Amino acid sequence: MNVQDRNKKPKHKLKFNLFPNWCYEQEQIDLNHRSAKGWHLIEPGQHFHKYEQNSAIQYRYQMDFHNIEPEPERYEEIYAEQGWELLGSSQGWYYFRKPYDPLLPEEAYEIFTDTESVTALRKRWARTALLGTIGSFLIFFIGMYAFHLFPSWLTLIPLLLLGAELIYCFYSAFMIRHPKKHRNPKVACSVTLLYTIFLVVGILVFIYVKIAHIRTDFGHLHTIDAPIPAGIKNAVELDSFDIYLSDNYRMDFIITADASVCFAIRNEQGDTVFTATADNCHYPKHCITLKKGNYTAYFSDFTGSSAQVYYKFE
Amino acid sequence: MAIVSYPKTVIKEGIIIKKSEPISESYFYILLCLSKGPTHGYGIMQMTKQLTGGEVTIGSGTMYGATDNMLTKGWIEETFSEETGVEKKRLYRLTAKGFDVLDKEIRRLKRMIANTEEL
Repeated sequence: MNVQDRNKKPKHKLKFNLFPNWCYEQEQIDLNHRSAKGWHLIEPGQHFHKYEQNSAIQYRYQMDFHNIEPEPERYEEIYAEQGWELLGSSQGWYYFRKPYDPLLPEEAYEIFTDTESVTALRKRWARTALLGTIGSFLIFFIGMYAFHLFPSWLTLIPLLLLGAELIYCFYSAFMIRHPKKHRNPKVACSVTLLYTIFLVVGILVFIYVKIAHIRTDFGHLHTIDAPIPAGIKNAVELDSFDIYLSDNYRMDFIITADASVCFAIRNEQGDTVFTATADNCHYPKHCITLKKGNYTAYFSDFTGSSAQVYYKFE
Repeated sequence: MAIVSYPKTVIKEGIIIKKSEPISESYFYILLCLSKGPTHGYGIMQMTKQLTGGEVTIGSGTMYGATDNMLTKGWIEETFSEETGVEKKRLYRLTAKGFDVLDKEIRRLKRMIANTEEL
């Protein structure tokens, strides 16, 4: 290596890690292949791994899993004694590397040398995945209850995401205990890819829905101080507003009047989507289904002298 | 992380008996190496390799799991080297409980060999 080469900054890159946790053996093989091509893992992450380019060396990688953090000093010491360098940990997975010597057999680069310790690792991971499944299951039920109380895209999308998480956790717990079922890493990577795409799309759709709801989220206060004759034709137009997404909305609705008054919301076609006749009423969080479009609010059939209505969408 | 449980208490027909269960090869060699005196993880690995002619190796993952489990069970304990002038190294020492486990395992293995030779 000449002086010019030494002064050069090593190249780095971030790569999305497609390997699911139950395929850690395939991930190790993949890391070894990358190292043989000159790209060495230097910083493991949950989704992205950081690699450094160096063609002068080659490493062998191994992974260990602990759901309870191991005793740091003793753990590192035992690995260091056999030449393993701890790169870091992510989600309980510990990444180690050791410079590769082609004269040594591949068995010299294994950190688990008996069936019992491999089974113990799989059990640790399966236990964690099972706890994740139970946790997701409980949160999923809370989500189902929220959806039951207010059926809307706002509650349905998180429910679907939780459902995907629940299935993924359960599948992980099952797969780590059945290593023979995941011989094909491409299938495992496709599962992770689909799961990740589903999560990303789900989150983006949720943001879109939330924005659409926020745009509708404003209060309307109207006052009438004269009687209005009966009949739709005589109805007084209060205001109009836009709905940007067809969905169920929660409406806070209050009427305060000295006589009975009719309040109505109509769509562009003139169909009444909501009506209430009262002198004093309060509907907190009233559920109303509205399609995308323009709506107009009206007052009609009022015999008194003073009426006030307040409504607000959430 | 329970790989082995030894000795195991079982209740058979209302009588509590102590049942000896085999321990794994790695566990056996760790206990055997430590029976010669306190040593560190690398020392155990080297001694095992030497004793078995390279047939049995104990990798770091297996070593950590086994020592962790043995420390929890009280079969071994941690100690530090008392050499002056050098960095204090973490050593493992066999406890009385550990000696007992090893002794029972050796007797079990001897019995098995004797039984095999008898037939």
